[in-house]
Amino acid sequence: MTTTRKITLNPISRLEGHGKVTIHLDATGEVQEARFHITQFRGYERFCEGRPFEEMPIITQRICGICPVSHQLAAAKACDAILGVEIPPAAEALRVLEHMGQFIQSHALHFFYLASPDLLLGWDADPAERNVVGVIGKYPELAMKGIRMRKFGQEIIGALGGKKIHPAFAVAGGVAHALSEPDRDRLLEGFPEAYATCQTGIELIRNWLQHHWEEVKRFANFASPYAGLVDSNGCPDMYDGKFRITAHDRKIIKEFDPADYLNFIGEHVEPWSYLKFPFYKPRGYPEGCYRVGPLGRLNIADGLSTPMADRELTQFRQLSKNGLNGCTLLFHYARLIEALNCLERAEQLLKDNGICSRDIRYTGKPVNAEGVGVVEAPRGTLIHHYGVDEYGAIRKVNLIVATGHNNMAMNRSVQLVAQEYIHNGQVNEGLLNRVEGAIRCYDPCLSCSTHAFGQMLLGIHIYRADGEILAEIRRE
Amino acid sequence: MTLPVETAWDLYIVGFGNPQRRDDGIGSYIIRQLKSALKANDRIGFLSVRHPEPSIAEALHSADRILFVDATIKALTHGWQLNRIQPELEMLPYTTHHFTPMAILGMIKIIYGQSPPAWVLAVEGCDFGFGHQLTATAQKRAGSATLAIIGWARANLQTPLMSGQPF
Repeated sequence: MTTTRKITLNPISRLEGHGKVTIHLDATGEVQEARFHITQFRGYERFCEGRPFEEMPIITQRICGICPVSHQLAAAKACDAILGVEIPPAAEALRVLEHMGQFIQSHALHFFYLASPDLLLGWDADPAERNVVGVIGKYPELAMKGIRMRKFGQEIIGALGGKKIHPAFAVAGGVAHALSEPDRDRLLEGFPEAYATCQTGIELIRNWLQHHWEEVKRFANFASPYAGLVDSNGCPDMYDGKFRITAHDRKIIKEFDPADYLNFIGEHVEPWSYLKFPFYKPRGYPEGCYRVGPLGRLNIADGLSTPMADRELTQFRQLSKNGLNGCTLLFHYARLIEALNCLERAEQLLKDNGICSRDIRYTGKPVNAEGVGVVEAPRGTLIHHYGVDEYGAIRKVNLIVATGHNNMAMNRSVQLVAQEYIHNGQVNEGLLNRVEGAIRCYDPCLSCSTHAFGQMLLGIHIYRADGEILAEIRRE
Repeated sequence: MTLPVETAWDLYIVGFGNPQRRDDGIGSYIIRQLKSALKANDRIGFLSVRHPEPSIAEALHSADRILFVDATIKALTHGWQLNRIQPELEMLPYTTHHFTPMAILGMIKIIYGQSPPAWVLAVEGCDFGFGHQLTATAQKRAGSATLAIIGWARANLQTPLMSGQPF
């Protein structure tokens, strides 16, 4: 008589932060259920209480070392709302420029460091080689290009905020420094190479998808709504705009002011994970699942705001037509198209005559008891919501972080991939890498989304129903 | 990003560590001291980063020699130690968070065909808690190590590196 088994992936590799996957097999060795667990807690929403609200951009950006700029900007926008000010145009332009730098470095990091090993070396490659160092070994020129593209994005951040990680830049009411003309000129020199590398990446992923299209169609392909911020032209806007949710066929379900998010987004808690499950309230949980991030943003888009990226979007639509825009592996393609969009946007900003203006901040006293700041982070929509007392001290904090929005979708993706590739209780490392790969598509930042930090390992454990470990894969 | 200008450094010195974690800032402290003492020599490059990462390989690959400087928790007889290191090609780190100087050399060798001779200067730290200052003990050890490097650099950087020559 066969027994049911549980497979646990612990640690999960090539993600930011840490997580665990458990896969429960039924008596016939087929996947019954899969869960993506986040097992850490950090407490930002609580320990920020009592701090002066102006400190929040500095405090909350330390949630993460990969996307600190997103937190800094969302926090600064929430602070602007508390102050009741509209920041000077140059300050907004500089914040957006910093944000573009972050998108460029984060997306380059993810594609070239984290995703490319699976694409270039194969799902079933030796785990000892299936990482960025393996890519460096076999494709040194491509690897160096990717490393330099990431460095370019970091240089934009560093030129503005003084350092590339946890920059001191966006503040309540504006930004702390103006951009110097020498720095602007130096940054402009870097675009030709960055564009070339980005286009190389786009061609690589598009060719890979086309060559592996049958697998792509089977790999965590499911219909879902999509969500993100859009501008008045319906183009994704990483810094501001209306929050749009569309159906799988891209028809708009709802658009609303992101400051009203509480009327439309709820958060569900499951006992087996510290990462909450945001959902679209009118549809309830779990039917209100939606996806954010690069695939979400391209699927809600009427177009992209820059010409080269908009042309790439046309090709993306062509590839993903006939309802295939929900294929999870398309995240990698969408991510690089976004990187191109952000490169173009950054260049536009740097070429604007006002980018070196010194009119960069308003100061004042708080006039509102609450402030909501919403931006698009590389991984999806990021919401910072603060309440303050009459002295400006924080009395409540609510953070809904990009990866959190995708929690339900990641769980569903893991289950679909596990069901596709694990049968009769047979598992091997390559199959389990595909399960990890499903999560990796979302480029989750688990440190952010639980506001968590730690050294907990992720791994894959396969358990029988009686609790006995059948197999174990760990990353040391 | 601008295309790199191939600068022929006689010596490139890289300091690692977080200066906000007390003695973990030994690397950046020594870099500052060396920069001040050796600034007249325009063929010495300096870099201070939090930890080894792939992006520094490009700056280092054309140097004649590389010196990595880092704090250590290990007890060292004189409080500091200089060791020659080799490129690591067999056991490369699993993630970029765990890159080592040896892995950087390995990466340089893979990409550029060869890697420069390199050393690690390890300086024993006492306190790695939160704070901006080195402990008095660590500062003394760092000072001693720095003087040794300055002396060597002044005496040797006018002449080519000889085989077997210490540092």
